[in-house]
Amino acid sequence: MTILTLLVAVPALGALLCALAGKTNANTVRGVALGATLLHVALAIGLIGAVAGGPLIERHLWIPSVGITYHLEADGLSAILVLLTAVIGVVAVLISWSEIRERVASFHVWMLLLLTGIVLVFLARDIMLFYFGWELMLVPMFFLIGVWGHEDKLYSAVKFFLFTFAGSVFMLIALLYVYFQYAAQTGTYSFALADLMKTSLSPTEQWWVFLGLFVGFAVKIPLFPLHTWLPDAHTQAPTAGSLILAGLLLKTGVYGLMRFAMPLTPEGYTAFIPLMAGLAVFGIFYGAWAAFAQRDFKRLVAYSSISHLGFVVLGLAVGNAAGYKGAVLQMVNHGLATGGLFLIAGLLQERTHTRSFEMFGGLWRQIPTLGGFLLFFALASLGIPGTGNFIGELYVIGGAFSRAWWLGAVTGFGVLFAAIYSLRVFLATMHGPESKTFRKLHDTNWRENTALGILVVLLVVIGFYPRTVTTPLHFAPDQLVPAAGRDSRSAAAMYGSAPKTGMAVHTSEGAH
Amino acid sequence: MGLIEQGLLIILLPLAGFFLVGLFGRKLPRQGDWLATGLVGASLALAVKTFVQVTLQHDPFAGARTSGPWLRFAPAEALSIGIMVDNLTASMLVVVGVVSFLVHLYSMGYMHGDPKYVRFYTVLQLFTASMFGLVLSDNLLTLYVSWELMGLSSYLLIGHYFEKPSAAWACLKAFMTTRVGDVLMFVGILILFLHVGSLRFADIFAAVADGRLAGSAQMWAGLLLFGGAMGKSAQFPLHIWLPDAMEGPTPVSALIHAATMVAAGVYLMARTYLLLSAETFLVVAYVGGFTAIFAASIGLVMDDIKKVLAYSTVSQLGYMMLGLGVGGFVVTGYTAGVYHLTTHAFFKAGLFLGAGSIIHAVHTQSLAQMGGLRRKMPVTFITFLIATLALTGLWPLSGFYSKDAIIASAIEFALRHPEHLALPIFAVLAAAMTAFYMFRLVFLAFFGDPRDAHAHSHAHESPLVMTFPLLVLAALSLPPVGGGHGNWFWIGNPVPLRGEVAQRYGVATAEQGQAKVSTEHGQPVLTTEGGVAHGEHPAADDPARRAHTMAIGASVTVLLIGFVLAWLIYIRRVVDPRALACRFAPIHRLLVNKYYIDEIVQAGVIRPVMALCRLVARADLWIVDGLVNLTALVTRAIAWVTGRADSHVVDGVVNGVADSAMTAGKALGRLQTGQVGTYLTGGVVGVVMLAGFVFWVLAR
Repeated sequence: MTILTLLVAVPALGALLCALAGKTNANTVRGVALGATLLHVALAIGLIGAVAGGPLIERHLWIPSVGITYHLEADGLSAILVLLTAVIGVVAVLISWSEIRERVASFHVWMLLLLTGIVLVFLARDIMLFYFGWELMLVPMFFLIGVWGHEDKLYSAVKFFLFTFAGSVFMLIALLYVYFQYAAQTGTYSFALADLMKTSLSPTEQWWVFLGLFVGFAVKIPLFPLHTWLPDAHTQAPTAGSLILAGLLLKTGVYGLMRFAMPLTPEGYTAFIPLMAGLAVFGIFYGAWAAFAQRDFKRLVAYSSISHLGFVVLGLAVGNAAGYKGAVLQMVNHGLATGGLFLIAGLLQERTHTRSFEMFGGLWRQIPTLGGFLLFFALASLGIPGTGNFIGELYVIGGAFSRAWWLGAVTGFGVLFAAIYSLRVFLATMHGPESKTFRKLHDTNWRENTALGILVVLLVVIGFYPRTVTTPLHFAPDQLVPAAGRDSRSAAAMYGSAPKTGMAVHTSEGAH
Repeated sequence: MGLIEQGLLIILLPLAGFFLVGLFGRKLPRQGDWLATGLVGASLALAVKTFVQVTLQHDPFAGARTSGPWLRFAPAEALSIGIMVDNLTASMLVVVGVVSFLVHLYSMGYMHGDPKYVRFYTVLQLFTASMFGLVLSDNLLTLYVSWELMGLSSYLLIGHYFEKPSAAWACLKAFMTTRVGDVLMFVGILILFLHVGSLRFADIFAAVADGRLAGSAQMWAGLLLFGGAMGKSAQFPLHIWLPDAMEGPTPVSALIHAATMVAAGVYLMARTYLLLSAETFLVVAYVGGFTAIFAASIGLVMDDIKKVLAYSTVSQLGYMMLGLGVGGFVVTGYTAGVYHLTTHAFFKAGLFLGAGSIIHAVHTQSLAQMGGLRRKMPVTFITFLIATLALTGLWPLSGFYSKDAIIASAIEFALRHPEHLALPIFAVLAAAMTAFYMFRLVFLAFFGDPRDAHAHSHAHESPLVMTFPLLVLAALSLPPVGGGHGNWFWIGNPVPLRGEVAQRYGVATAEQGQAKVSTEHGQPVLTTEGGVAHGEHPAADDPARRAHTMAIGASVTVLLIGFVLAWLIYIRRVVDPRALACRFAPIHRLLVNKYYIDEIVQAGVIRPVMALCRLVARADLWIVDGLVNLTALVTRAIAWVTGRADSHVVDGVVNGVADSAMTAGKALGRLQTGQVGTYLTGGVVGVVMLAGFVFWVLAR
């Protein structure tokens, strides 16, 4: 059993222990969950070190007759996202400590199972195993929202479930099509991604397969117009649910594009670039505008997620190394910064029992530390230099610029609207005349400070030393920067020379 | 310690103060103000040492630079991070260090007893560190980072009294307005990166020199960078945030919104001088010139003492831009602009701190409630008067030299190119208005009878910790320190002339007017003993010489006119200002309402954007989400029909895919009915059916 299996097993075992500890008091359950997530972080850090020398692989036959293998594999990209998962897990446990008082054990069981599913998605290299992890994420999230959520929890939970489930059907059909094509061409059945990438598909087939995968992943990201489950789910979920939703679940959609859709059907990807870029840029503005007009703290942050994920998808759509790195950076940064905003919203709701901006105002005097954290995350969200978000946006917009200068210029103005809604959050809650309704709110305690502090430190580290994220992407062999090679014309224009092999290239030779 | 290490330390000292005071300020004695002040003082000492080391070499290109990679876009290409020290940087370091140190000192008195004392000093430290970082950056990327962090400090300090809605709104307005400029600048920076492959100034200039950066790319890069400078340096029409920024504590207004941060835009233009094209220079000159006269005219009628000074700042920043803009065509312009930046920093900081001293004493900002303060506050009065005389350009104070240099450059440009006659006219008229509004302010505040007996009776001179900075700043406007022949600030050519810089980097000075420059730059116009624009041009009919003579004549004349008018109206009361206001009511109303720019922005930008946002939010809720719910309804209806058909007609052969879709449809249909179990079952059944389908196909 390698570290890969351990990474999947630890949260699952943690869930089991939480279930067993359910009979004892709540703090034991919380302690067990915290222990499991901390161990998970340690393992994930170990994983980063381990993949520096090359990808880790663990493969066992599972159901040979249909070609299903238990195939886990980690390269730099997987390792970063697994580490993000583990860190967010710790923060989620810490932040639920005082918020969740009902059915504590089952809450933690579902949460740890959710983390299991997410890690499985990031590590699986067998399509069936991946799909298993993908569906495994759905059910725990459904219950987290449906049971521990706020006023409209059932509607939101069902909407979330149906949307993502419907999307995953498209995805599955597309994947199965490739599977059968591979079987028809080679005579062997295999769900292994590495095998399926050798399937030769005509451009038309690639177009259709990419479409199916794109729909499935776009729901999760979410891209306009498939996003409407997100504001409801985010708003109604408990704090930890919103955190994991924003920080991790949305990233699985992007990851799916990077890991499966783009390598399996490179020509389909190329054909979809205009649509992807268009939806992404539109989403950047649409999300920002809609966010600004919200009256509910969490809904505002939810719409801002749509805007931020637009940057991520744009990074993939511009098809060069800068955009690709920017996309990964923004995935991490968005998880940390938007996660932080959701934590603040949750902490405020815990104290004031409302999320409505009209009720807040002038709270900074009462809760200076919480206000300071909110300021930081709001600034991170608008991309202030010194936080990772600035670097990520710099990469994405830089990548867009090298693709087409107007694309970069238009996107640059998206940053402007990010400033409007981010500062609105701060103005509406902390600035202005002191709210008469709330007196003597208590400031953050050490547990909350730890949870928020982790996010702040990571964002600042990435802001000044982005190589923490970008270096693992260079760990060889990285076949995930497909367009860096394909789009060498514009890349050369940008960098003055063709990208070197370090950022190599998934050539489509297997596809022909 | 080399220049580089020294520069790094200059940044790190206040940065350390930011963390120390921020984290432990409450626990330190006196809440850590001495620590913050001491650290900036140490930075100042190092800045002065740097200045002496660099400028005493009498070499326009003395200094040092170093850099290393930071961001890697692709293996071949990285963005670097680095420090450079040259004459321009050294001058800026001293300006920022002096004003910041004095403001730290002054705030000990002014902010005494403020409940947010620690936060105030913490952010002041952050600001100082960022501004030092800005002038020490050897590339546009770290310059931009510092630029934004300064904006953040400005936001926090304007919002210091955030309980006041006006302050909360003002800091938002400041951030957003400058952000508009910042986005333009960001795009400009990316254009440069795209064409040059590096953001180091040296690389950019080299690219201009060898023609890699030319034509429209060069023009747009320059114009977009100027967009950023317009935001930061409050040039029309992005000036609207600066007067509102006066909501911040007065020491902040002195440091950030008068002396240093707002001059960062001017610094940016000076720093990137070689990449600007002729078109950009013209835009800079016209925007600057127009801003100078536009803001000065509003300053004529303001009642709030800080607002008068704020519009004065906008106007003077316009002057600096004008100087830099005509500097593209006239050899002296560049130096004149940067020179005015330094002299203005000292006397305008002195004016603001003096105003703070008055506000501290009488607890009002309204000129209408002041009067007769000169006996009560002698130190404040004398220093304020010196700074006023410097600003209005009285010989031999510093402002005379720097402002005269700008006016002379503008006149020389117009002499060479008569079609640009408007520029010197702007400059001269703005100078007249400057004299009028400044003497009006002095007369209303310090002379005459007290108009508010209560405020006057409580007025007192400020403590030494506040008056000392006033004295220092006033002294910095006096000769030989502040200006004129033998001005130490200018010994050793602190700022290389454009022609010299161009020669250094081999940039072709081909644009219109530059041919002249290249013939002129053989003789350094600014020499060891020479003042600005006192070039050794032999021919009496040389435009530079004529321009200089005309400039002196014009500025002395308008200074006298402005002074006499203010004296007649506000001391001799020959005309009642209120009668005057009634006589010219439309103009007066226009000025008092600041040309209605705020209203125009409100109606033309803010409202439409907010309406758009609301529209999108509603559309999202009713149309996009509505479609989802409609789909649910329709599916539900179909599911009902097929369900009936299924049970009554079909013989039970089930198509797996169709059925799973139907199951999903049923579940979707009951979106609002809340039967959770049904959906889940439906979902699971769907998965199982799909899996079964797979195996069925396989087994075939």
